[in-house]
Amino acid sequence: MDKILRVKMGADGGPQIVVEPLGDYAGMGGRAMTSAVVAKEVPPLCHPLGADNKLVIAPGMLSGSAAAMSGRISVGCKSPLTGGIKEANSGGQPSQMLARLGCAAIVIEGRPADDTLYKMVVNKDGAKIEADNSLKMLGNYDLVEKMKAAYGDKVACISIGPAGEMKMSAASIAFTDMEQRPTRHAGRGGVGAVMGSKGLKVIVVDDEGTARREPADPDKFKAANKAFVAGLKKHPVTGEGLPAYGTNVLTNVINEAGGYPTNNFSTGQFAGASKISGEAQAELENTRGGEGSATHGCHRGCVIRCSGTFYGKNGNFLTKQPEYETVWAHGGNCGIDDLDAIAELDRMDDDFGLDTIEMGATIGVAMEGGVAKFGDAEAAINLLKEVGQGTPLGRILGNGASVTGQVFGVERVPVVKRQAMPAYDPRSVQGIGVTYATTTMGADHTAGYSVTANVLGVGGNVDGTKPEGQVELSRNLQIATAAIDATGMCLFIAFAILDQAETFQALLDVLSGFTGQPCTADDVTDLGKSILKQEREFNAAAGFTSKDDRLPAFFKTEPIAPHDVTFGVSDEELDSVFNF
Amino acid sequence: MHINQESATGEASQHGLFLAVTAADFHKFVGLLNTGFMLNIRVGESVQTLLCDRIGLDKSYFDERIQTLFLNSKPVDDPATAAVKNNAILALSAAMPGLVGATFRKGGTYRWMRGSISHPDDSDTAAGKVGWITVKLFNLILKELGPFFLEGGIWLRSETIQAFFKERSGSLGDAIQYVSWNGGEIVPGGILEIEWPDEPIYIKIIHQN
Repeated sequence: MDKILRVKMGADGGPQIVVEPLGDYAGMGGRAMTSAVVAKEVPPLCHPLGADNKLVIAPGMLSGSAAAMSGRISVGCKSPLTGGIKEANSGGQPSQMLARLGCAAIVIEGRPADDTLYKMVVNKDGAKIEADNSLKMLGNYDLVEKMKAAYGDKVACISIGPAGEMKMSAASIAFTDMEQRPTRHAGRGGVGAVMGSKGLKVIVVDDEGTARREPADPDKFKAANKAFVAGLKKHPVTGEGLPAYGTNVLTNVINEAGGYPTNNFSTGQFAGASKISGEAQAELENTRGGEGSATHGCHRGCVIRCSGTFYGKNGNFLTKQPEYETVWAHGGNCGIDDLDAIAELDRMDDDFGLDTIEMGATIGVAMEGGVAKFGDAEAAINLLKEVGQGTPLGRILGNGASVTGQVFGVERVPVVKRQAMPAYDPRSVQGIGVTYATTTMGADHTAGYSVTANVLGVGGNVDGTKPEGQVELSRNLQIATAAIDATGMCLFIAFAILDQAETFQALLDVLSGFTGQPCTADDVTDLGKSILKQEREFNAAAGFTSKDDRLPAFFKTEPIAPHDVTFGVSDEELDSVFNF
Repeated sequence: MHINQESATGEASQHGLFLAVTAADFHKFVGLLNTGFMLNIRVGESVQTLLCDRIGLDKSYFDERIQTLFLNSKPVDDPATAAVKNNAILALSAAMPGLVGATFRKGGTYRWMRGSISHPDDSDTAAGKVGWITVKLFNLILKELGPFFLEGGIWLRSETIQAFFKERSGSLGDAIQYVSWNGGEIVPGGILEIEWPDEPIYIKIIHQN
């Protein structure tokens, strides 16, 4: 990857695309690239929907190569939801394709002079952008069909739905999957609203005529990649559990642990959990059958294949297999125990271009505010339709749980830095509460997901029995995760790395074999630390203080059943997370 | 393996359902266990003693495959010391994805992130008495041990059995070869006509080639 495409939406005479060398950004990918560009080029106090904000789309460092699991793509900007720096990432096909086109990043900046909507096409001959107002307010599915008709069935699309055009803070950016469906999303933080504010509806990516990126040391890379894949396949989580049940395999277990936020975080267990569990979902999908029903990858090169395809009662494709967080958000968090209704909501989220976590949490808050009753699936579907239609109520909901809680006078609003909390109650699992509170991204379960100190050797072995243990674990998890996000690797590789030292070494060797440079655990942690420092500095300059690194007060005052516990990590401990 | 439930007879339901089903369709009946089933226990015995010594799970399978255990919703780190009490709920799972999944793994690196919800090492003063336990099997463990428990015999709430056969009567087809209810043979379709008592039902399912 040797170039950056700079899309200047406010250029005289209309948007222009400038091809630039990598310069200071050489060697970066994924979250390292997006956060570096945002930190260096975006004024921290700018309005997120204004001309000064920039939207950065960057394939991972290993994307486009033969490295397994390397198809993740990062999207960065100043978030309209949190007001801080944002990196949201996604699977799908565009990461591999952009990387093969040599494109290390697309940076979209400025703002068009009027409300004209644009589409952009990137291929081996270059990139062009043109007005196309016929695309206005199209859902992602219709949009992709239109692009498919115009550019063929091999291209990939990066697009926004009506929510992005309406600049809603819950708007996502869609990335097409292997079947050319807009099912993969950079969901969190309102990145779709920023794309909408730039007047860009879709980027069509065509990698025809390009070749796979070749490693600097082919022999080392090939051997390491083989060992890495073998490690993933032999591990019970990445080799068996995730392929069989997907991430929704967590529903039963988190519910059993009393950490399953139910009815807007009012209790920790959901009576209907077994009906929407991964086990029930896989059984339903296998019974209905169809291509890729219960086991399917989200991008080429995926060997875990934790996704699947959800066919409706009529046997037709409805949506991809909803993930755990989606099933929780639209399911247990709203008291809904109907997999078909949850799949319908997931389809609508993908079509309108909305973050499923934010929308499920928002509907939960709205239900608590009396807008609908917990458990009423039809009401939830109707509320989401209002978001897609942009009615006044829909505009409120589409701007997330925080705004909705304020409008309807709800005290129990599960957000950090205004971003909705995912599917794990921090009172039952206190350590994840530390990550929710302190991550630069707002409440985010993936921010501290990856391998830990005892594997990477960051700061020596952690003694979790000490009071500072959870803080130290969270710190090291956040460092490691930031580094993984830069590589383009799926975070789910973490499970095999966690347990199998040889698989972690294989990952280091894949990186080393690809770049031709030595790569150690220290290098990985240094990368993670530098990303986090940049992000923290941006947020501080944007006005964030330690008071933003807190969970909402109700987590400290409302015990949650069945364990009857509150969040007990002190503010002083939270403030020490970034002492590195 | 055979589930040794000899101690149960004194307190168990006298109602029993016995099914012989085709081998190819045996997996379809594992869904009966989705919400848990009941077994008799000796109060105070450890989880490991219950599952390995009395029920007969292979020790290496227990150690290596069952990575996540909950006793009354509390994650268990040491199954050799966690004692089962009357009316306890025991959940068994393979290793789970995600940070939180790893957090619940027995004795795992991340167990400290749970905070205070871990199951304490304990013993029970009523040790030795016969009691009941509800067992839940999740993910790969459900798939792998479900048939074992169905063949060995378990107790289920009558409404669970009733709902299962009502919902799936269409998909079970000719899978059921033989049915006995309270010791008397009935036709397979007769399951839907049973007047279920409001108490746990002993159920055993075997497969035939």
